[in-house]
Amino acid sequence: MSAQSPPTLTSAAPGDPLRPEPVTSVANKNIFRRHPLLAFFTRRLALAVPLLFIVSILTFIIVALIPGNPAALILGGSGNVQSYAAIDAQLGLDKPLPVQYWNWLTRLFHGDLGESIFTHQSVVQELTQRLGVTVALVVGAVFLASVAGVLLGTLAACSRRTVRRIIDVITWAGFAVPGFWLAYLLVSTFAMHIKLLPGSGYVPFGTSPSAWFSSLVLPVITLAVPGATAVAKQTRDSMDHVLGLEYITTLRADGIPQRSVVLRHALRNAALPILTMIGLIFVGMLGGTVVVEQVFALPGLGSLVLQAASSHDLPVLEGAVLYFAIIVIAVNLVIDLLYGWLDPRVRVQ
Amino acid sequence: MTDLIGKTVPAPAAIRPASDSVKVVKALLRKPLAVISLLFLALVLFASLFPSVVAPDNPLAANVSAALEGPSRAHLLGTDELGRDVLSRLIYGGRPMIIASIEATVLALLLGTVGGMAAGYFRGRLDRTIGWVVDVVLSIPVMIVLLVVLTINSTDLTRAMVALGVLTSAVPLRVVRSVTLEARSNGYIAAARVAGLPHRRILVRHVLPRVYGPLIVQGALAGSVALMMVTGLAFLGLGVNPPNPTWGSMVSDAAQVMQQDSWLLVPTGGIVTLTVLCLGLFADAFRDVLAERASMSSPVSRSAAAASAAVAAEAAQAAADRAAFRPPRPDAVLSVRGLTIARRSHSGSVILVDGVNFDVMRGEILGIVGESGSGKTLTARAILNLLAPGLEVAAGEVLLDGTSLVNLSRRRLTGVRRNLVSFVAQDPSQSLDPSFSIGSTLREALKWRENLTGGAATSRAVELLRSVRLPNAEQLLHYYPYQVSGGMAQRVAIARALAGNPKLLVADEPTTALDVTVQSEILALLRSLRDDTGMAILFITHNWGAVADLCDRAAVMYAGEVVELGSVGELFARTLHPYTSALLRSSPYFSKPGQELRAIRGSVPHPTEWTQGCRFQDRCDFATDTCKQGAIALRENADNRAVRCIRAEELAQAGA
Repeated sequence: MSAQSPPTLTSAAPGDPLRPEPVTSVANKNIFRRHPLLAFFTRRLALAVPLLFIVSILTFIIVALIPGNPAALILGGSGNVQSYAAIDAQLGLDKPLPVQYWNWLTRLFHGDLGESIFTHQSVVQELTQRLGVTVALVVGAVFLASVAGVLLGTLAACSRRTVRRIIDVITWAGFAVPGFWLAYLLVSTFAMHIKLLPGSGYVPFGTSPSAWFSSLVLPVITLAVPGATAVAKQTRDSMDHVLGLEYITTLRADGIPQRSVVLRHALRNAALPILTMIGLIFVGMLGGTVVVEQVFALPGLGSLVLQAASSHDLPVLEGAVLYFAIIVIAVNLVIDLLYGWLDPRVRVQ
Repeated sequence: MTDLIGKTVPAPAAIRPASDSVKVVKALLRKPLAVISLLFLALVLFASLFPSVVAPDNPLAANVSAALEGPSRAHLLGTDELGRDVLSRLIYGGRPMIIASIEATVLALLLGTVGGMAAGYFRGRLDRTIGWVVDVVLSIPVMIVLLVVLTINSTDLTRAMVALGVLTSAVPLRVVRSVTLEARSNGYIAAARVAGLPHRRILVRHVLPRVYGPLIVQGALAGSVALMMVTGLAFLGLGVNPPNPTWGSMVSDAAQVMQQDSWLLVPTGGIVTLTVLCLGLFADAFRDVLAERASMSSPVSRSAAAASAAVAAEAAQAAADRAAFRPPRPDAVLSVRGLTIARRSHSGSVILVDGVNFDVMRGEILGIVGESGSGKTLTARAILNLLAPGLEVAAGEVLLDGTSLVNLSRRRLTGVRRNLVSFVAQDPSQSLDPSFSIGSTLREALKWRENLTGGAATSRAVELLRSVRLPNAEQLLHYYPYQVSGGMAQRVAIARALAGNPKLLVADEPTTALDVTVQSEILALLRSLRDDTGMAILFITHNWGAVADLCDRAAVMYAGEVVELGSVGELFARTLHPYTSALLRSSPYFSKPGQELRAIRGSVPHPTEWTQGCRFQDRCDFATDTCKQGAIALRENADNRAVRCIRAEELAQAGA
């Protein structure tokens, strides 16, 4: 962060560990010296704040650009000029855009995103209610996709032609199946024919943890399949590359067992691009929740966005987009932290 | 004399992308999956563009009395809940999906090409800005943005497709950027820049043609993403004008009646899956073709039949050689006899190392010297069974301490690697796992090779680091390889190789990647380690100075064969093979001040261009017609020297 070079470098013997420069106050210096990972994380967290600000502006502008008059929607086309103006004033739409943004931002800081044009429920309340469903769905799907993808990809990288080919076919099939179709295939198999799992609907965790779990199984699988194929392909390519590197040869020459070479060394070094891919599928899955929540009738953010978009419920749409943006920023932060944990070189950059 | 170069080494043909495209198409047509997927895609495209020509029926003609019929002769894919022909609806329903996908894909490719070429060609701040934008775009959930855009007008897809095109341009942009970067580093483009050719001309004439291939791959992939998104939107009822069919809304209609008839789900979702699958398979096949073409710039290999015949002939020669060479001696720690290494590919085999023989005695340092391409590194790797995939030991025997290493079971091979032999690679920055500290690297080797764990392993690790004369060994354990200098890292690599007290150390050019001063330190270290432990060393190098400093005996390799073998003192005093003499004369190490260094004319022949008879004949000053007739054996003479030259005695007497 600072242009000044770390003092340890000049005095130390060649090859002394480079240490990261702390970013915050001098008082905290020692903590960061001792915990480079903490310093790294703090730096990233500090970067997220301006990013959130930018995202809030973008969200506001995009939604403000949507034509269509909320007042007309509320009044159902039956109002006169006065009643239109009254509603505009009530929603603050008669002010210039920067003022509107400022008002929106101030309310945002007080945890107020306005209320839905249709249900008149507080947007924050509505979103927070639904956030849990979507987070459970996406986290479950990312976890499943990562585990399955890394397993398949590693297996492919360590296998001969036939097994590689079979895994190739599986990943291609997973890539090509559209989520909305896969959802119905799963429903018709596991809900209609075998009657093992519910085909739609959601049970809150508080009501019955086991029913909650089974209500999420099919949606999670639907969402995970395309992600798993992307992770599998990335893992295979990444592992193919690492397994051809010189230090793998040296480890083999040392008589280190194959299991250790593959899992401890190759997979760890192949992990960064895989992690990047997991970040990307996470983002993709956030979009995927729209379809999956619709098919399985889950009360999450995705179905709310769809509802808000088709009914022009701008305050809800605005709030939902902002929530998604915050999730994306949080995920990127976690991924960054994992980078630093996996690769000692990332921490000091 | 010099025109020999022109005859033996054909100048590499310049790769012209434009004339190349025909070959790419031909290579693509040889792949059945590519042909099938292309045909299917062409069919889908044609049906979507001209639905009225292809469709057997009116997609909107309802006939409630014939609702939900399965496939029949009249309705190949059955009828839907209103008795409409499913096949016709699929054909008409593809049209809006395909057109919208093409819009988004074309925009993504355009943006990707322009942005990627600009970023890769101009570099600097522009590159960084574009890179940042790409990172941001990649972390935007596309579907959410599309929904926001469709809030404006939910039946018109055009705006949404513009957004989709922008958001999916990030991946093609990255690909185009890296192709441009690669092109930019190319000599002729650098020359064109220096010559002052306008940027636009360079980009259009020289960079763009290289982008086409990867762009087709990216186009297919972006197309599949777009199709997936468009059908997803249509499934949600967005961008749809009922009762006109779309693929997406047909799936949601089919889902409404899936309790009564689940057949309808099959063709409706199936067509989307098949189209996306074909796009993906085509992209994959095309990428393979491009990769194959990139790797084919090396000389063309011989035809399969000729190559197999050559393999047989050369293996026979290797066997004869082996018989002529003395049998493995009991006091040798390593005996290599007739070692032949081949590269197998679908177009046949190529011999790379041909019947190599040598012994390494206990406690001896044997150098293997040769130019790059002589097969010395392959020989070292074959001994440890570390050949890269595609390479194999085609014939020969490797005996390590009495154990044959060729075709050893995996378990026994691991035992040999743990207890008998160690390996030190050329570049320490590549041969140590960057994610592990020096301490954990050493402890891992000790765990498997000396059964040490915990505190015992740590103190032994410190002992090993001290034995390679590294100061501050305890502190060093906590360092990562990237934090120490190259010389230190190579000492760490040697320390690791010492774990398990091996009888033989195979060192593959261990000083090549290091500074000259560090080189001599490492050589001194190896010598003293041998003196202290009695461990034999097989030392691979192209550096005669290192041979003179370190080795007891040396084997000279040329074109996959050992051409001369003898003790270092005798070798330097009196060379027997013309290649050794020429090599020594070209080395600055042995030249006297004022003496002219004489480079050997020509270059080491590629394995596919080995001549019959002596492989050095084209570059030899003493070659005669007899040198061309039939294989020349490695002959061993009385004073423990061996040479592969029929004129050796004659030339030695003449004092050449």
